Amino acid sequence: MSNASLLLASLQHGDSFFPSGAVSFSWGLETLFSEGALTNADDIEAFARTQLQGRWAGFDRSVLISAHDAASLKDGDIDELHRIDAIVETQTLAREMRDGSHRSGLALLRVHEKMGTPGTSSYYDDIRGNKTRGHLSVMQGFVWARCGITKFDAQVIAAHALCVGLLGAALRLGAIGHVDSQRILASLRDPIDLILCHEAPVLERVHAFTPHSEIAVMRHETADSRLFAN
Amino acid sequence: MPDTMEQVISGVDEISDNATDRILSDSRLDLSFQCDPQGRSYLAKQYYTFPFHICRAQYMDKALPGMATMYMQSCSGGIFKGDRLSTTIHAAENTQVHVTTQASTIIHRMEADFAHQEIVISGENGALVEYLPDCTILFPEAKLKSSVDVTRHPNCDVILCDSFLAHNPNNTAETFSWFENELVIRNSDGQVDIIDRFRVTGEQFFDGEAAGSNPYMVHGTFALITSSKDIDELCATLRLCPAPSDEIYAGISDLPNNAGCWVRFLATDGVASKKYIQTLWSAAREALTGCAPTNRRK
Repeated sequence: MSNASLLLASLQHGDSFFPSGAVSFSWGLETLFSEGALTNADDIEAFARTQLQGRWAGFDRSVLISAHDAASLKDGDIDELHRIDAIVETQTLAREMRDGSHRSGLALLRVHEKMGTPGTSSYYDDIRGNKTRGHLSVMQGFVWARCGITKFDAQVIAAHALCVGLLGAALRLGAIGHVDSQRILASLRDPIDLILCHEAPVLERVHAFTPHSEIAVMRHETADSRLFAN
Repeated sequence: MPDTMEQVISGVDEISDNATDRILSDSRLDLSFQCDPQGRSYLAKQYYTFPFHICRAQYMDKALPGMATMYMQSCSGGIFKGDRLSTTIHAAENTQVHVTTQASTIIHRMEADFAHQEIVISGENGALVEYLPDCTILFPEAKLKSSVDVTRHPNCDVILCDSFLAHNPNNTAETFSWFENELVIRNSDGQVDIIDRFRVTGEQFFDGEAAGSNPYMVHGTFALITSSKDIDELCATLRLCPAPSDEIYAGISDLPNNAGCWVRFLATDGVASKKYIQTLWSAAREALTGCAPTNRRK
């Protein structure tokens, strides 16, 4: 692909216009906002930054890289993708975090299946047959590799998509306005850049530390009113 | 101050590759419990070296009179730089074992090097294992790598908690350097059911996840690992445990792979944390056996 094509592909897959289902998830933000733990734009910015640094950098990023590597092999290493999926399942302890990752991964895969992205149809069958789960970061690495997106670009898209998803949720909750959301999105470029300058942990040592949002996702299970799925 | 991400990475760099392997150290505590014909659990084998110390098994649980209670003690006043501490706890078939510490464990200042402790627990068919140590207290510049690795028969129930408190006795802004913690639960076939692995710097912990500073000084995990009860009912039971909102921020959920249920909590201080763990333990025990436990004296 030419540089322009690569850039256009990244823009397409990183765009909130892409029907990935990400709009259904707040990853704990809804609970923290409703409980008054996050009240303003500064809080939302800090929250998004800690999601990047505390979870995405040490966990999701490594998963995505491993999945991209496995999917980039000739014919793809499907067994390895299943193994990566199982690791994510094992290490995602909160139910709605697990379900959210699974559902959003499945939504992404379904769109690619309908678009005819190579290999996605059989992976969807594997999920339907309970052979694997289809967690979001695994599916991102898988489908983006199959679309010819480089490993580095896939990481940039995933980090961007996470930020856009969180800020979109904050916007819909009324925690921030449109200008704040764009200002915060711009401010998150440096943290993302810093993360991408360092090696990701190997898959066997992935780690995450975001206790507030993790607890919030768990409390969301029994919340009275719920706009988002987690 | 270095950036949080840089700190995390520099902390990681200090951990040598060897540190991820099983500790080969003389600082060992090995406990093995068996069940006698009357159903009383007893300490069948023991081995310990400095700084570990243990006394005889205690029988203090009125609801489970055959349950052996063991207090892990230390002669050293805490964990220091370079310490490599290894503990194994084996609960044979049908044993009932409660292992705890004499008090909180202080992780002292470490200008260089780090400390590493691992706890390996195995439970056989019909065993009930409770591993409920007091809080780990991380002093300024503490660097600790810690792990709890549990292998259980499907009919073995396990109740455990793992918590840390960030504390500065001088009341300055200094805090611990880093803490890497891992909890692994696997079944007796070797299949891993859950892994809870986190790595945090003191700065990251104090910053929290909102713009203001984090009001919680304690981070804790409580888990009830069982295949014998309805997990949704267990979650509902644990959700009934009082958690005062000005002291505790907690969430309860079921674990992956039908391993049981768990609680993640943040507490303002060690007192609130201890009280909450006590409540969770009591509710979990009652849900498993029908009777609440007798409090352990410390």
